[in-house]
Amino acid sequence: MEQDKYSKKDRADAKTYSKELRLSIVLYVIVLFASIFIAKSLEAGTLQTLVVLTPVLPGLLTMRAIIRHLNRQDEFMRIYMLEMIATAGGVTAFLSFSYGFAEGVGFPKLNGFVHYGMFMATWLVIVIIRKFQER
Amino acid sequence: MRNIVKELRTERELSQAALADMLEVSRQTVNAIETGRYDPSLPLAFTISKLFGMPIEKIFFVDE
Repeated sequence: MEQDKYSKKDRADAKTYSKELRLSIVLYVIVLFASIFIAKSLEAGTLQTLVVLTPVLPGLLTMRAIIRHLNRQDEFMRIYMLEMIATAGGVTAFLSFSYGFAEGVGFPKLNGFVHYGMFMATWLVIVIIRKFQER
Repeated sequence: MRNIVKELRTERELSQAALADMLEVSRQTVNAIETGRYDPSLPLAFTISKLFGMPIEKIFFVDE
């Protein structure tokens, strides 16, 4: 009786999310490579800056896909997902703050993008832990 | 809070996914309600009550 792991809503939501996310990522990769290629042939200046910034447009589509996915969720799933995102944010803040102390004694200064990677990795780890706990 | 959602569901030989389909929620939501990890909002509690044809207070009650 309990063999179904997903409801129809789960499947439909996952399908739509996957479609929207994949499309945005494909567009992002295309625009990213095109912008790098075009930017190389341009003189340094406003136009070149605008060209290298163009990948943020499909990046906005990725953000839209994630937000739409969250909005499609029912009340529990929304809390469940946001809780994991918030925990990932908290852990990232703790880790980066801790590393700040290490920097004070000579550890290499890290690029700001490290925080984003750290956040995404932490988020993934939390999702895996939660899935494991619920098995 | 405690509830008898699992008992009502199994009486009707429904899987969690089937009940989730009827309530238009995720299967995880049904699981969380049944295991007491989550107390549903009033609108969802009313939907559950309507679905099983029982008053809310007979399905959800305070754990004494």
